[in-house]
Amino acid sequence: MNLISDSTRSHAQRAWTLVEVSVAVCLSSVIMAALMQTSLFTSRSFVAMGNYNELDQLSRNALDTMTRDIRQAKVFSPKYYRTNMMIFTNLDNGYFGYVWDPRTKVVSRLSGGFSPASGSFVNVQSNTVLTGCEYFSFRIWQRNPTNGFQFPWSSAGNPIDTKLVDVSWRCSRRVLDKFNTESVQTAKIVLRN
Amino acid sequence: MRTRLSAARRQQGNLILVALILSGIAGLTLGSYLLLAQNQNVSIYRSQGWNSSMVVAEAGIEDGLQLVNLYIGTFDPKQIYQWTNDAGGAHWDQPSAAVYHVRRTITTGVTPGTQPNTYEVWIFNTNKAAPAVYAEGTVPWTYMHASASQPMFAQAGSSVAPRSPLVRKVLVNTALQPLFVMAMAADRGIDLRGMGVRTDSFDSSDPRYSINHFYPSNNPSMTKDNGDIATNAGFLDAMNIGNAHIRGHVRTGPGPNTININSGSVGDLAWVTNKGNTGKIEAGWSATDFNVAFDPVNVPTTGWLAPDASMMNYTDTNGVKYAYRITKPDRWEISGLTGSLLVDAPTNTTVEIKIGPDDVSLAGSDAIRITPTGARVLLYMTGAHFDLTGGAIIDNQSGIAGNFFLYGSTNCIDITFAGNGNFYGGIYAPQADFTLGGGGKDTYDFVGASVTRSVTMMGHYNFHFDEDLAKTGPSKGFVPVAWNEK
Repeated sequence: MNLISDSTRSHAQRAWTLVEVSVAVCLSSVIMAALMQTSLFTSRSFVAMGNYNELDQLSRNALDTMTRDIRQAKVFSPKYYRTNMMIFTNLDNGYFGYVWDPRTKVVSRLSGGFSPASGSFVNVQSNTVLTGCEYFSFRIWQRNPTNGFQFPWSSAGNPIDTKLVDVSWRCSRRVLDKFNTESVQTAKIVLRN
Repeated sequence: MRTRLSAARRQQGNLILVALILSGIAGLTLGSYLLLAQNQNVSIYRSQGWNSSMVVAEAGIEDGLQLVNLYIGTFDPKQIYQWTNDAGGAHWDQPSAAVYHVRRTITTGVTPGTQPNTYEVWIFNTNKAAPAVYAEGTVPWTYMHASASQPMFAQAGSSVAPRSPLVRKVLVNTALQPLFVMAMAADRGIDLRGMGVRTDSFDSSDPRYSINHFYPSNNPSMTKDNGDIATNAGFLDAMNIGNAHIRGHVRTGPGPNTININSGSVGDLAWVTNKGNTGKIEAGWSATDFNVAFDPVNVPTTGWLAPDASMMNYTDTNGVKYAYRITKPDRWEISGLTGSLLVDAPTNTTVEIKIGPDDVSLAGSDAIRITPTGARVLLYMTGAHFDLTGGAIIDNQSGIAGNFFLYGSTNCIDITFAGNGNFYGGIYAPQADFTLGGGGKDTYDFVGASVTRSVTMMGHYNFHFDEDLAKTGPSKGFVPVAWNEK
């Protein structure tokens, strides 16, 4: 026995009306657009957040390495002092330094020896510490604070004055050509030796 | 009978499927977000722990330095080396002959449920004049993270995730810091208003820079350029050089225009002797970063003896009268001094004299005279005023600065030398204002070094820093000279 009547079958097999289709398409479009927008926003922020995480981690590692290096340095070389470069002498009379190239936006750690005969660095090894660095600055100060708060400025020509190195940088990356993820680090490091 | 699902029922199934997929995507996205946030959180916590472990290691270094400097203030290296006798009392163990070790736990500020920070310190005393301090700071870092495994069903919360402790290691080499490292140091102002004041240095232990241990007066080429003067003060004209010629460096505390110079000069021998440099300071020979703590004198508290009658009112073969004559190397205590004092002790001995609570007030032809036997005199001034006026002098007849030291306790607030004779010795009185006058038309030598609260130099003095004081003289104690992070 067939329990489905002809009238029911005809109703079930009947096509959508134009109005029904139009409404469905409109609603679907709105929902899809909302979904796509949400998806796009989520993806962007997701990438931005991951990017920031990575930048922050790289910056933190760079700062850890830099503070350890500078803290146990003996003295810096005034001849090579720039706001984007500092070369230090270690207790073992080896050399190391950090330099920022504003064109490539790369901060590198240099290490090696120095030849008094040629007056130049020898066996220089360069390791990239940071990339995408928009801003980088070294400033030097005397160790003893005045009035307990402010560190007096140190002359670049007199390295024995200098006991405090102030380093700041800002690294950024563009994500999907829209977001600019930034990581800012700043620290004051006292030379212990 | 055949049963069929209606179209509405099929659509409901699709909806559930779509809802599940969308929920899955949303959940996955949310989970990823949380994971990223957690990673960031972990990174920050770890970074804090990493930085904290350096602070803890530094605390260990401080602990080690405190032990090796147990006897600072005595200024005597032999006394300073005695710290090893007290290591056990400070809960240090001794794993081997020249190694001292301690492990301490920092319990202050520990969050309940977390492990405290600890440090271990080893002191390697193979070279007793330069012990090395090695410290390991351990910080058992943790971080809070979201967790659903709470006592109540579906309860959200957080729990602590322990991680391997962070350990940082520091090795610090130390050395004895000399009490006298420059010709003249002061906590407050230095005013060289006298006429023709000069400073330079020599080395009584080096025949290249001395003649029979004495200052090479007639041979400037044997002198050196370390007649440094320095003050902690950083105010306007804190150091008035005036017309003095300083063969050495000048340093003040931080501040603008801290050095005033008129017709004097500062620099090396060639610079200072060049008249074209009048009123100038050679490049690199001045700085404004001087910041030194002058520790108070630790006057020995026991073993002081009062001179008996046989040591008083002595007249020598030349008819010179002395209120006291000390011949025995010991600790002698005198309440005050208004007459001459003669120290005539055997060679290579040390005589300690404490004067106080009354003043030292000598005038006319009075003198504190030390015969040239080679005995060393340590004079502790615990009275307020140490005044030598008129023709009164400290007559260290050995001519060796290392044979006489005047230590002013915190009670000693001024030291005045009339300045009518040469002075050989070291003065360490960080609470006393030091005034050096006299000289008249004559010029005298001040051979040695001084550390006082302030300096006012009005006489005609040539100040010769004996660099041997920095090598074999009194010491402030052990200070770090090399910092290595492992």
